[in-house]
Amino acid sequence: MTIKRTLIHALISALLAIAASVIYNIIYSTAFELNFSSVLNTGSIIGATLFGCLIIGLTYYFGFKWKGEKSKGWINILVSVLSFASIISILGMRLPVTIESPEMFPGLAIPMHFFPALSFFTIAPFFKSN
Amino acid sequence: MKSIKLALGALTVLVASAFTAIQSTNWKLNENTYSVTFKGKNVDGVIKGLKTNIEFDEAKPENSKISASLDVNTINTGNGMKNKHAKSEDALDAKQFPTINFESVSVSGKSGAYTAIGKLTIKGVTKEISLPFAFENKGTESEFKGKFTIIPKDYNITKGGTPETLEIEITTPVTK
Repeated sequence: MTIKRTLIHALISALLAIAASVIYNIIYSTAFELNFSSVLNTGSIIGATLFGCLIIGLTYYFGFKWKGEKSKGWINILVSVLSFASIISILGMRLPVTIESPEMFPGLAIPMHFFPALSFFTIAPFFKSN
Repeated sequence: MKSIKLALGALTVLVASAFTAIQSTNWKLNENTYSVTFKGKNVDGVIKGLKTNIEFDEAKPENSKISASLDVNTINTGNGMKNKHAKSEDALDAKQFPTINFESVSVSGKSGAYTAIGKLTIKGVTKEISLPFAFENKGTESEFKGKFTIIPKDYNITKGGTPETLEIEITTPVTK
């Protein structure tokens, strides 16, 4: 496992997660006639997803260097648990009062919190270490 | 005959002026720019759906009549769960009491600073409150601004986490 390979893995999974998030954002906002663009837009999706995937990738890399192949299983569990725990921040989030129907915001943002991990795990077999 | 005509003329002018004096201006709310906000410990937000009937004469405020209502279902704290709690049965009970109403009993004051004493009905409970407000006359487009405090428990709002007091601020741009 090289740092270059890890970063490519993180970058491709970020692109997939960004695509999934942007498409989901369009579908959700159109279907329910909502506009959360002042707090969640393409720019924030790109930034947060890139950051998330890079963190996962680097954790994979340093975990592998430290404990070898076995570390991957534990990191997968850690990433899943952290992704799940992060939804608490969405449930407690206070949006600007100018945004209508804030109760619909978790339905948009929560799935997006799982997309980085999902895409990273999905393409992981293509980046198996030799 | 001439003196009778003069007397009748004078009487007509007097009666007409008397009616003019007691007629207050009917102010129409600008529905796009008003704001009703509330603020308490750990909670703040806005309520929409304001409907008003404002007859106000700044020179003779005692002739004024102010009534207003708000739609409880439009309450927005910026958090979906808090909104749900605010509308629940042991809070505002939006299902059974969908509006908050105010009706003035008397209005007094001068020089832009006034006080409306009136009946505020929240969750079916009516209490008399004093609503100090400012009136800024800008001609055809003017503005009322008021601020007052309520104690939610007085209105049977008992839900846990409800602040002891809530400060309510109203800004209503109006036109003649």
